[in-house]
Amino acid sequence: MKILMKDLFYIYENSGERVVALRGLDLSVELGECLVIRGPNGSGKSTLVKLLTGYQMPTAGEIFIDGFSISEIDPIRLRRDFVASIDQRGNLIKELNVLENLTLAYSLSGRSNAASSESAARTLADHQISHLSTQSPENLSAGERQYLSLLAAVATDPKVLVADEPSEELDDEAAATVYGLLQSLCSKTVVILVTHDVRADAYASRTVRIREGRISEQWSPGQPEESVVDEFGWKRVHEIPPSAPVKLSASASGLILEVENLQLAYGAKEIFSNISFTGSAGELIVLDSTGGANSGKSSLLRILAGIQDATSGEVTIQGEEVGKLDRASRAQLRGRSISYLPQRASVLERITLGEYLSPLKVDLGRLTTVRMNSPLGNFSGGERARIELLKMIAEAKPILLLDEPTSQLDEKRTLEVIDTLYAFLAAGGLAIVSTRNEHLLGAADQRVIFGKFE
Amino acid sequence: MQTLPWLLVRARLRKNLIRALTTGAVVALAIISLLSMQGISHSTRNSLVSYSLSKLPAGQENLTINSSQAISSAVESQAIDAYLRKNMQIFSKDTPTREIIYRALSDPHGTSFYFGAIENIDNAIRLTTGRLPGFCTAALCEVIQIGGDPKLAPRPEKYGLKIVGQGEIENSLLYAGTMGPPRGTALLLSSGISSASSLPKFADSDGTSAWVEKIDVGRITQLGADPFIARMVAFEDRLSIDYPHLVVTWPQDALSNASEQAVTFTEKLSLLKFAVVTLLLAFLALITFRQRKDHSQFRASLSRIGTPKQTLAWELFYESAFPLFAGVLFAGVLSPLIPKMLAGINYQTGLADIYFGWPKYLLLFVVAQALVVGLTLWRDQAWRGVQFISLISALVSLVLYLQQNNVTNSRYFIIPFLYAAGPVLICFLILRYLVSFRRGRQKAIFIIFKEFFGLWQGVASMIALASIMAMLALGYGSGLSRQVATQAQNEVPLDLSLLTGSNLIRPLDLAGSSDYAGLQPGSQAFPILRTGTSIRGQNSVAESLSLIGMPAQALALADPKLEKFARAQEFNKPNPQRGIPVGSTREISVTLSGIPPIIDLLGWFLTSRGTYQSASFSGQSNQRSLSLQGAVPPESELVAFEFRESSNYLSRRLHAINEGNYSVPKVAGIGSLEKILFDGTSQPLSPSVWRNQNFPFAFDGQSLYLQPKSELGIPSVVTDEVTAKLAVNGVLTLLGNGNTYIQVKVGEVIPYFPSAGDRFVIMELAAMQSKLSQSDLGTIDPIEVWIKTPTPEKLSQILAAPPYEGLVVKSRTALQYALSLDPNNVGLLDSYRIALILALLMAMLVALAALPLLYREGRIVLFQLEVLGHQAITLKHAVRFIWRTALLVGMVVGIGLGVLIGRIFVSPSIPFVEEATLVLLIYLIIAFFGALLSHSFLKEEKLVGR
Repeated sequence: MKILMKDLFYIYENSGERVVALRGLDLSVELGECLVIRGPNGSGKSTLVKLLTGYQMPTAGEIFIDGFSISEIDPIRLRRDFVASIDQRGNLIKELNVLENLTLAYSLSGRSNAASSESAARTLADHQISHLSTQSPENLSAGERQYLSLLAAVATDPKVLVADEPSEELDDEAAATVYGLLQSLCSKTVVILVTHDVRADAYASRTVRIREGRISEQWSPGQPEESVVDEFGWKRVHEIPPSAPVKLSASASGLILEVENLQLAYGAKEIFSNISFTGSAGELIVLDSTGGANSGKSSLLRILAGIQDATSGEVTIQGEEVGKLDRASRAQLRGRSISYLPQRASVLERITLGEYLSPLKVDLGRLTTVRMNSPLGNFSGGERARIELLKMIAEAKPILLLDEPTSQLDEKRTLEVIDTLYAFLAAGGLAIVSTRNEHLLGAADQRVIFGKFE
Repeated sequence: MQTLPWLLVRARLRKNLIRALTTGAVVALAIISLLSMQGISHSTRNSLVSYSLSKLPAGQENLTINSSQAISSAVESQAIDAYLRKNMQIFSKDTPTREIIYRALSDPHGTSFYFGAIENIDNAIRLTTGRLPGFCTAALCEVIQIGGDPKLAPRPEKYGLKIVGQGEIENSLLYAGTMGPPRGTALLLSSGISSASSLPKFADSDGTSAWVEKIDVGRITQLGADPFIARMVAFEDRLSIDYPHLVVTWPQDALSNASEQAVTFTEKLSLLKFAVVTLLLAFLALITFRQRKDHSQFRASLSRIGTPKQTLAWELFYESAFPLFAGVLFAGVLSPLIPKMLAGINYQTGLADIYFGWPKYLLLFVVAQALVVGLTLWRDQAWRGVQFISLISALVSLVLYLQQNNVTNSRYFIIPFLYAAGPVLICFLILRYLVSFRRGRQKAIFIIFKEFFGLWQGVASMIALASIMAMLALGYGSGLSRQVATQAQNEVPLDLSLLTGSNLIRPLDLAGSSDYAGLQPGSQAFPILRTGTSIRGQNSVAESLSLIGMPAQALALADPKLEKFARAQEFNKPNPQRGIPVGSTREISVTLSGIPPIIDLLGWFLTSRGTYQSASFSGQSNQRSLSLQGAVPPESELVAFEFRESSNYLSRRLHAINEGNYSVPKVAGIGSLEKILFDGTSQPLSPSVWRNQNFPFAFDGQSLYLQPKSELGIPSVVTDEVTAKLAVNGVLTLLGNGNTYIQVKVGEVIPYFPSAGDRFVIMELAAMQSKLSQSDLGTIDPIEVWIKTPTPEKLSQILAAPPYEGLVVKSRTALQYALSLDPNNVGLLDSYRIALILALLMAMLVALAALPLLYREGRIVLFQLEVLGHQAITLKHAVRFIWRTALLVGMVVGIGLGVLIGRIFVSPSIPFVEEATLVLLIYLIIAFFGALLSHSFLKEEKLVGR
């Protein structure tokens, strides 16, 4: 089995301008391969996924699966029988429970309802997750959701499985589980993994990089990057790495946050304990979990924001003990002193960008002039994360809590975020960021290291 | 693959349970309402026929076939019998009842009676004395006496008849109407028509045979009034050919009238039903628009994993059909209760009547589902075809539905715009404005307002639609009450009116107005004088109008707006001194001159009870006298002298004229009433007041009256707007008989006065009597009494009993009640009430379901706002505030449009204040329940779930 992308071009119009997303992309992937596609934001990765899954047709060029051009296959059939896909939120239908989702997936492969139901139950049992069968996807953890999405995706025995940022919301342990499953699938289906996540490299049999709509480099695990030479003998020059932003000295100082002996446990399961640190104006504190999974970074941020209670320990913000405040006082504290950006950006859909930001003056670059009257629902996840971040910095509250703010960003955009954060710190703010990103980890004034507590 | 859609549908319904249940409940309510209206419609059509027939005189409500001659031949009789039984089957399930009656007979004592015969006498007669007749032979025929005076039984032996008992007719079909003998005359009935008609004594007598059948209302409803009438006419034609001597009598006019009323009623009801349908469709459209995005995401998710489009189409079909079907099913389960429910409000229907024309409901189902499918896929490029087909199906089904309802009224096409699209659009615009108004203010309110705009729009729109329906229903009810009250008041301006009855000429002859007032404590009685007059209108054409006289108090009571005017001196001038009080005088004598002996003289007296009474002077010379003892009550007042030809002379003169002999002359000349003495004492008689000197006379059947001349100036009157415009310098000149006229001043102008008709002049009673007496005494006596009483029912009962039973007594409350029983009004009013209940329940369902729906679907937004620093209590208050705002917007829009639509289509004069107050009250009740429902909002221990 083989998938061949030949001389793919994709051109679309955006606000009257013609944008070339793919410029003669050539790529071939064979059964047994577990291909990782990387590339900066806007390089054409998402477009390639849309072409592979039949949502869009290439402007020029063709994609062949086992010699069949996918342009001749009905898109629905293509997605059912040839190219399954999942994205960062999985592919489970939120209205169905886990068992029904799997039953649906098996039914789509042509099995009878009874057989599908049986297969679904057996699959859950084989993977020792039968206890999740009646759960709604909305009640699953991110890891569970992605794992089950993968199981549902391969239920129809697709020839190709495309996973678009499947690990974005996953901690290391969950990511490892998902990648492990993906790796195990490589033997019977072609797996194409599109991600920024460097953790994926460990599971890849080959990694390629897309730049400006073409494959520019590729490498195998443990091997150096090779420039890809096209049919005319051309190859891309290496990109000059962006320069790291320079941190400015803070205009204010003083203790803002004190965390003392913080412990969190769900019943007998301890998530973390003995977390103690202090934060002052102008400081960037990074919650580092590179050494362990399921560490409770997000929970810690929620505790700091006063929207979750710790099992024990104290959090003091500007002299106020958060644990002793009632719900209303905590809301007031957040309104006054804390900006919190969770991993999932705003759920607001209908109010426009201008209305959302009002009365703040936020410099959003191109967005301000072009899309100020667009509803928030029209912005992509990445755009919304950026809008939220800039809004929170403009609010200039003393504490900024960020949960994985760069998980969808490439290196260049990550450095832009760090630059923005530096501006916030220079104004006397305290930023606490949960991240796995090396650049952010490197920029930290203080690291709070989480270990494995399971 | 076939089970996949079901899997998806089940999941979708589970996820959107509140929405599905609300939809199902609304559909069920709407269908139950429509079915109830169908039942009401069916029952009302029957009632209209029965009501029309019930208003006919006895006997005329039946189908009767008369023979102008008695049918003595048994063969012919049997042939006709068979013919009629066969041909009349289509009109009634019963067989016609045969009867025969001969012309009036009299016994040797001169007692009149009738002889007749029927079949199976024992089934039709209730025996009171004696026994039922047995045999009937040529020698002797036994009969039973019906009616007549039992003490003066006829002696029919010379006709070979023998009375063996007395009884009453139980079968109301028999001997009713023209077939019945005159009241008080005995009918002697024998058993068996053939034996009676072969009696030799009656062989040459004129007799009438008849076959009577009750009009079968059920059959009319079954066939339809017009087809029934057409069949009757065809039968009538056929019969006139087959048996020319047979004549059909049937209430064609009443049936046609009922048919026309039924058509009008059905049209009105269809409009209302269509309004209910519009309400339902508007609800479905709103709820579908709200879930459109949700379903679009669902389709996208399924499409991403390769779910075939066909599966998605079936899923959408089932998902949209399920709540509708559940609603239909629920309504179907409950529908057997509808006849019972309707029976509770006096409608007789069966399930078959309720489900009559069921394909209409099937069409409605198609409209609803196609609409839901079409709107769910609205603007989804990938589903354009299905969307197009759905909307076309909806449109076609709707047109067919309207066609099934015999739509001829252009209002149907206004309803969707006026009643659905209009309110929805207005609510949308107002809410949009309110959102933008909120932009710079409390951000939490603004965000919740805008993020759930569709929900608020749905709530406001449904409240608006329900409020419109409520306003229309309540407005129609109160309009009807007003209409009935106005109608009743027009006929009976106060509580009771006494009019001339069959045995009495004038109510005041029986008792004075004070006597009527004294019959029940707290009652007031007012004599009313009413006559016709005319006035020169444009181009000198005489225009007729009513001239009504009444005491000032009656004027104020009949129209409270005139109270001030009634109290004013210019209207309520004191009663002028009119006559000469007789006190205890025993004899009055007068001296005449120039009056021939053939002229009779009468004196007119106004008694202390307010009645008028006349008495004749005796003698034919110039000296005439009148003894008052026993003839005129003491303390009366001599108010007029009447001169007239003696009855002998008049009849002689007229007889001669009839024979062409004009030798008996008319009496004419100049006379004087020189002197008047009371018990020998001379009384002053001013010629300038009484005009008793040298008055000309010329008798031609009429009387001449001498009365004291009025000392009033020009009286002030109440008149209508058109008449008032004919006043010259504020004075109207009303024309009397001959060259007489009356001048009155326009005091008040009003558009309407009870019982006065379109054109009227209302004067104070005494003033009118005084003015009229100048020309014609015969018109001055009140013949009508209005009574104001705290106990109209009791007083009515008293007036129905002797000695007042001859009076015509009209009670306003009784009339109002009778008018309110008109099936047309009752049926529509009840239908409006049903629509009102539906609208209110729908509004409550939608408004109250919106809160848990928001909390379920939008909780994450509320939590995000709390994370951003808004307090939970602030958010809860914000939700309630916006919800109440949406309710208020809907209510204000609904009341506004309801008043507008109601004034255009129901009644332009309904103030709708009470209706608006009631809608406001309902709003407060819903708001209260909303506060209860949202009490537990945002009280979860964990602020953010997983």
